[in-house]
Amino acid sequence: METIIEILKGVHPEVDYETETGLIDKRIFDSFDVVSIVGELMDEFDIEITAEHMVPENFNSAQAIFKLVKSLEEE
Amino acid sequence: MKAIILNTMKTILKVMLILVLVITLNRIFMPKYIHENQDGRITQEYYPQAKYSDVIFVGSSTVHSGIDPRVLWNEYGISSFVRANASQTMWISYYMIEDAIRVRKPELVCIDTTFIKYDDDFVEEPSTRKSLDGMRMSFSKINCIKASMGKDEKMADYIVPLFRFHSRWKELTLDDFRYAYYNGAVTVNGYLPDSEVSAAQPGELIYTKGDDVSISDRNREYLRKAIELCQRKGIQVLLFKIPAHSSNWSETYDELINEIANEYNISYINFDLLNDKIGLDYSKDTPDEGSHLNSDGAVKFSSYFGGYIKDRFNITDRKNDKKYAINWNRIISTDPSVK
Amino acid sequence: MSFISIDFALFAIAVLVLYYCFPKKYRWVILLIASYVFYGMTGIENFAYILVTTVSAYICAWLIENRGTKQKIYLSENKDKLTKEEKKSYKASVKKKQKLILTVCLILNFGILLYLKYVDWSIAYINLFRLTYFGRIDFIPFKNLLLPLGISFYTFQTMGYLIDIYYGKYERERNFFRFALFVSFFPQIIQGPISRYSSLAGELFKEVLFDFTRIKSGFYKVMWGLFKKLVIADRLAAYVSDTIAQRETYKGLYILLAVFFYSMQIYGDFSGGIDVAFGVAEMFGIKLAENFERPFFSKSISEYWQRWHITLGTWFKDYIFYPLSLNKGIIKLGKFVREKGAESLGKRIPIYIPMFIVWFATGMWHGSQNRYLVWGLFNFVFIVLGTELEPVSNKITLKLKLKETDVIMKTYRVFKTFWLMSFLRIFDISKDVPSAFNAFKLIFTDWSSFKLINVYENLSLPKEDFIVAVVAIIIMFAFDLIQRKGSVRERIFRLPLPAQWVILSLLITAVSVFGYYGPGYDAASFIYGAF
Repeated sequence: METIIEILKGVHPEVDYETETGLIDKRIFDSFDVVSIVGELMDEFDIEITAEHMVPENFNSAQAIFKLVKSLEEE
Repeated sequence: MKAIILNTMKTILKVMLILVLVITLNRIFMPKYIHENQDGRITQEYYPQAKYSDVIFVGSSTVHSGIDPRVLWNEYGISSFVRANASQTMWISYYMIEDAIRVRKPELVCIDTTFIKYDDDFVEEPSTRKSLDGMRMSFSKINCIKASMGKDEKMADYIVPLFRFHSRWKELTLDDFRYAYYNGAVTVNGYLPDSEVSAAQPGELIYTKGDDVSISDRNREYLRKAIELCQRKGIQVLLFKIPAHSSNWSETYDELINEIANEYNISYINFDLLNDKIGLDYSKDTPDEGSHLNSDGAVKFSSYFGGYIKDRFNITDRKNDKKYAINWNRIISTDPSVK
Repeated sequence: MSFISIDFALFAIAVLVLYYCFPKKYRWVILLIASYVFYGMTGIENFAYILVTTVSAYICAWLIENRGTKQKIYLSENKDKLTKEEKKSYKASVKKKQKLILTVCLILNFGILLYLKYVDWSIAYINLFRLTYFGRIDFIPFKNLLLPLGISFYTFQTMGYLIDIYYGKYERERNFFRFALFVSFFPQIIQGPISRYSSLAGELFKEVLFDFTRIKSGFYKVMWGLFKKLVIADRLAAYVSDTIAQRETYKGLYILLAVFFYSMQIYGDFSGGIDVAFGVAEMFGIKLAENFERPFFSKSISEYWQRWHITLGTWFKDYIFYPLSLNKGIIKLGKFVREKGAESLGKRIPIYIPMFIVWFATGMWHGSQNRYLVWGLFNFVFIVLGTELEPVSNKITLKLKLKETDVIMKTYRVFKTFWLMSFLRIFDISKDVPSAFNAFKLIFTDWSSFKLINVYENLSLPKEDFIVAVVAIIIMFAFDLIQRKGSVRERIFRLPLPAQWVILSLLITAVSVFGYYGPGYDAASFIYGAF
């Protein structure tokens, strides 16, 4: 979880990732941000994120991203 | 169970409503042929008169302008109908006979052979339409459409004429609504009197003659079919050529048609050859320099033709039949030019 | 057999009757037979193409899944023996094999499509090259191949399925014939929508009860589609192409009008056709994917492309854009550039490069002429500009004391998007790229045409048709707007019966009377018909 927040801070340092649940819906992240984050995640956790995971629900909060990463690691 | 029946009834009602709508649209959008081009009404006006049609004439425009059924009635008590549209081909004539027999069996069918000279691929959409759009739905009609429509035409456009005429929406007039369901007659049992006079070139009528003249396979086929159908049904048949002062006829046609007539043991007569007896005067009796007969010519020819028929065929005299008399009195007392 | 024909209507009715006469379990068989009969009627030789796609995708899906199953068994059997690294390398080797199978199948199928679409285009360039550099005038003759019906649509749909299988999204269809139906389902084969197996399969093979409401509802949809296609699109078609072709006569406002009407025409044509497909499928109890969502009310080009030809857009997004964008190589490239200090450029690379490729492919999808490629690239450029200029436009909005939610702002955005897309369509109606630019220029060269008074008289469309088209377009958009608040049909069905009948009668009358079809009526030929 810490690694994820670190990655997120690298893109938008000003956001409080512990509480924010509308990263996509509130347009805090644009598509460029999401793609760079996904890149970092794939590198860091050695997982494969594909088109089907690219839905707002998976990226709206740090918690959601954590869940996504966890589920992909288990595969 | 009740619900199912109720639902089915509802569905049937809905489909019926759609059908009524489409039929009404058809009626509105079909050209009306009331004030002009009345030949477009001939086909449909047959049905109310079918039960009085002992003699049926088929042919093309020369027939519907040359035979006046009133004369046949007045002089001979012959009750007849002229099923002849403009440019009516031999195959349409065949189906006109088939359709007529389907509705009511006549005693005699007279087939004019003027159109036998046209090619197999003779297609003239407006004429086909005028002949067919008034025909009641039947297998005869379907087969007739198949036989007559052009390459680019579609069966569906004949079954639902709206598909053909819908673009008339721009030119619809009050008449299209007023006459949508009009069932009155604008023709005299298929006869369209023309009172114009335009004299033909004076001189003897000269036919061409030559080897290049022949009857196409298709015309031959449908002429035979027509004769065979009548004979099968026990109906008398006559082949004839209606008078016209026009040189595009050939003695060879007469010979070829005679061959067919002989084969079936029926008569063929070219009335051009009896001009002196009929008494036609092409300086007065034609509206278009001899191509057709005008009303004076029609009276003369009908008078002669009636006698010819009366002498040679077994036709019931209906003069004393009350129903017939009432019908004919009504026809004669109505001037079809007044609508 | 055209979709918009009596023949098709009769065909559909016949299939419908058979469909509901059969036991529920086997109804899909009727659909399969009907689809193949329908396809066969477009030309027996076309069977070869659709069969190659069906068989190759079926076999490859089978092979891919087989490897996956074997992998699972192997891993579970040797759960304890293998180290993590060994497991990983085993997985990677399996993936590699699967990828190879996928690639072969993709190359085969898209190869056929590209060959058929681009062989003449390539020959033209080869000829030009030979002429320019070698002075050869012995031109290679064109192949003049005919594209088999719906090949683009079924190729995309089937390859989408195969990629999904590769990613393990769902299990493959084991029954070959069911799979064949998925590929060939007749209502959607001509012009889409491009369905996903995950949603279409459930629809095709579910067992439906006969329900008259469904038939009625489907019938309304078909009629509405015919309205858009026959009353609007086909009426405008000749006028639009005439105007663009005779541009020396029709300049300025005339071209502008033609551009506007072309947008109406293509929307009526395409969405109308989709509605017919949708309605027919609905009668079989099959719901197809929506392909349009009031695209002309979009506030930006990217939004427009999420609402126009939706199934194609999502196909490109899921099978080209994201796989490229999330590709390790491209992400590394972006990171590399970012680390070199070009932060903003690096960020854009994983988005813009795939986007460029998607637009290039979208251009190719639309046609094998350069003008379509240019059209695609313009779309790309406009979207990039829109994204890059967003901060600037936000500032301006702020300066003007406007909010994005203001009606005036919304209207402005919708207006802008509509006209940008409409102007781009000039590439669609012009014969080549220079002539498209020329047409665009001509709009602004004849200002006198903008005096509205005489427009009617000079239009190559008769005044009555013009009025019908405009009224129909207004009706179309009115219904689009009503539809925003839920299905129009459902609301009609809640009305009292007489009102429903009036609406249905009006719809039937409008389509059958004002539809632009058939040979036209020449009164003179009927009045002066020969004797």
